[in-house]
Amino acid sequence: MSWARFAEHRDRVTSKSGGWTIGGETTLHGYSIHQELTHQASWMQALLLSITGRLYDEKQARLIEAIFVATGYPDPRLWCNRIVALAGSAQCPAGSALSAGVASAEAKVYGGQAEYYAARAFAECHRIFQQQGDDALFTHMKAVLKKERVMFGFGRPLTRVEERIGPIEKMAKEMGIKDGPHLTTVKHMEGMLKRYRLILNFAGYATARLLDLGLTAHQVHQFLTVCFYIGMPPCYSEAFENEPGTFLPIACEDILYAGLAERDVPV
Amino acid sequence: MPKFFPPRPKQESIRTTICHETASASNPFVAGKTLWHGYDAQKLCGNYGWTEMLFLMSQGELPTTKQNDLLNKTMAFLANPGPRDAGVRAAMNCGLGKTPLPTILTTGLTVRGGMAEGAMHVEAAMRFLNGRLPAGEACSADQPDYAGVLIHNYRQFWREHKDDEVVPWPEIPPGFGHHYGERDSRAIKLMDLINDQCSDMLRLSRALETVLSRDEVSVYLTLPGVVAAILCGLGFSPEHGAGVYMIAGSAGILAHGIEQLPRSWNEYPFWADASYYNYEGPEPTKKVGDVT
Repeated sequence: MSWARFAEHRDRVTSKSGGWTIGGETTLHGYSIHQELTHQASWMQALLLSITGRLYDEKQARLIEAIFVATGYPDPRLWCNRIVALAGSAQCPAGSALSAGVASAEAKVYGGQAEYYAARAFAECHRIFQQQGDDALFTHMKAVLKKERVMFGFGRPLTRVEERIGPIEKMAKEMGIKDGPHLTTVKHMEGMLKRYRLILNFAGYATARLLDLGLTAHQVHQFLTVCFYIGMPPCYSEAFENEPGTFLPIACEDILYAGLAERDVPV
Repeated sequence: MPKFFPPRPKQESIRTTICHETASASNPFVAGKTLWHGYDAQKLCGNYGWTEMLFLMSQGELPTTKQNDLLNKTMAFLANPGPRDAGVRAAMNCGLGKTPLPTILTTGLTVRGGMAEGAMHVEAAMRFLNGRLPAGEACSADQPDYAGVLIHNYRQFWREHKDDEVVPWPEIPPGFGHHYGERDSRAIKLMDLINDQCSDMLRLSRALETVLSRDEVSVYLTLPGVVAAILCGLGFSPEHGAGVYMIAGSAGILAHGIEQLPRSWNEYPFWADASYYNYEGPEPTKKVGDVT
């Protein structure tokens, strides 16, 4: 690739998704934002549209929206919330505090990366289950657990209870939304993983539902980036309004120092 | 060490080997004395500079004079990625929009963190050079054609694992490629600058470059590749190396971002003329009511 390739893009902005005709129309994936989406689509429908290019019906979007509500815990002990609270306590402006919280939730242990891994793993497990059946799926899962020591989408730090799935399941039933093929496979996997005391976690559940809507692993990852957001503003506001530095202050003696004893500075 | 509080469960304490603060006699939250990796912080600051602290924090020991000189030269070379760099431009966009001050720097650093020429690339290049790819077995450097083995292993890793992470690994071994379609002159300039301090890792990089330049599409060491080799040679881990690369560019990111603060938004390009914007998507004729 020569520099001519870069020259082609100089002073040229290209988009297949949409944009703004200054003073005129704005579009998103073939929809007029002001003539159509603003008054006819929910924020969740528009978000799904912006990520996938597809407009989902209100019912599906409402169920997915409930996922965001169900995991918005305003508890500043949770890792991403704690970052927001620390930023509030440090009197950071809201935008930087909340975006730091969102960015931090792209975590392998509990957040965005785990959902990406789960999406890839579930797609593979579903393929094996469909093509080769139960025994092959179990063999595959055992191999993954032996190698990785973890099955993304299953297990949870701190507890073996998952309180967020029940209300969404109830809601889906009431709305007449059935389990799709990925969620069916994942529930089957949960049965197989009982012997390992691994429960389906909420990220895994949400991921399976999103795969059933046709999202790719990257789209699942991108979509769930803000899934913890609802819990963050209260953590920020309270810490911001309290006396600076009073959010979980740590005394010198609270640190377990495991390093070298004092030594002379070479001069 | 004065104790002010009764013991509490161990799991609620932060554990570190880097910093030890002893409380003052009268206040449990105020440090009377601070050690960094065992050294009195106050004495360190009186005798050593910033790059030495960076080395100490990352590696637990002070650098030798030669190591510090090499780190200083490398970081100085990277100090300003320039106003065309993506990270710097991100900071400038913040500046002209009057984004709160701290966000100007952190936004620039975030963009500097990416896999294309950014900190993730430096980290990947260091893993490639160390022969320690995430899904691969570590291989011994004591074997003939070690450079060829590393390239073979990387290509196999890429075929099998390129999409394992949320940001894909590059097809060309990280640290190698082109800069705007040609050999990266920045890499050559940095190598010239530190020529008398060439490490085994840089020699290995040159050997890799020799192999890769014989490919059907020749690729060469890039700036992140040379930086990766230098930082590996200095003993930094890939994670620390990525951070050093980000920090090194922060001087230019900060300066260019803040330079824009007092200026009007229309003193920075928007590319407002319709001729700059090329929409290649569907016409906005879809109707919400058509959704099934």
